[in-house]
Amino acid sequence: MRNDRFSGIRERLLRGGVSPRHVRRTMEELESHFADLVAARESTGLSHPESEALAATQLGSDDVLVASMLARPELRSWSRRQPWLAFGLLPVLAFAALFVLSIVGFVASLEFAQHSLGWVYGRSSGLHWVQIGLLVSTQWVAPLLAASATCVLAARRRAAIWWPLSATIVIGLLSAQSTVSVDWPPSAAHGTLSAGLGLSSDTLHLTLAHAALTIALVLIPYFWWQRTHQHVAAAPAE
Amino acid sequence: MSGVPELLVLRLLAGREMYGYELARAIEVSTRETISIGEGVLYPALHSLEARGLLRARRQAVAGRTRVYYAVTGKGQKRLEQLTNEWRRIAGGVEAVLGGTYA
Repeated sequence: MRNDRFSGIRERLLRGGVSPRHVRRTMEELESHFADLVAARESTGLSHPESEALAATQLGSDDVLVASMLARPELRSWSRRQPWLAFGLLPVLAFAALFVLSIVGFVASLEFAQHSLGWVYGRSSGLHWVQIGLLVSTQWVAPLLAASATCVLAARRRAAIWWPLSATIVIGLLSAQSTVSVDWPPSAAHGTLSAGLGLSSDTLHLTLAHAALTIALVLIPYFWWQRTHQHVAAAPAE
Repeated sequence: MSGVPELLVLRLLAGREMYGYELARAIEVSTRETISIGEGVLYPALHSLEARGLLRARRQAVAGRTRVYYAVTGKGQKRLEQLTNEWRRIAGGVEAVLGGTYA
């Protein structure tokens, strides 16, 4: 099981903030190097266990290798060098971008429906579903995608748990306060769409419930992954 | 002795591109086994040199395994010249002391 031989190093490098790209390549290179060393020893007539033991010595200790990798800041991942950017600013920007994209998609769908399908406000039931699609997209899909992507990034790079936690809470609160409303003729002279952020004391309980549900939907799988992964990482290599 | 591994790696890779195991053997042979390192630490050094733009890497699948070949870039060539000059200057100074030309 060659993969198990270096799994401890892999985990230590990721936790130390080394870029996953460098970690992945280092693992491939170490495995290949180890196999070459074993083959070279075996070609001299040594048994496989003897060859493996000598190859491990020749490759050097895990501690030295890990220390050598961690001592080089140029090998650190960008998210470890600038966590406030990766887990602070980017998630909020991603949520905002998805929110705006949902609105753009809604308007484009309406234009298409009106001009190509001949749908008419107030008479075509399909428009109602387009409107529901907009609400689901802005209120649920956009925040869940942005927060989940942040958690995936944090998990891959073994970031401290409070980074994705805080990003998810911020996104959850922002999405719960975001509002989108559409008025169709005849209640409005022309179709109008308004979007923004707002907090009403009358609906505070709904806002908080919305935020809590968004946060839970993202963080429960993340924490489950963390728990499972910690068990796997802590298991001794075979 | 800082800079010696970098100098050796750049010098050997300036001749031709090599993958890690090949480079470790080349160091062993060319230094007549006078320099001994845990071969695993070659990789942090190679990745670091690549990150600094002194080496470029390319992957190649060989017999079901991925090998990463490293070659010196133009920037790496300049760094090699700089390190070589520094090494010669230091080695010349030490040799002068050991050879007794000092005093």
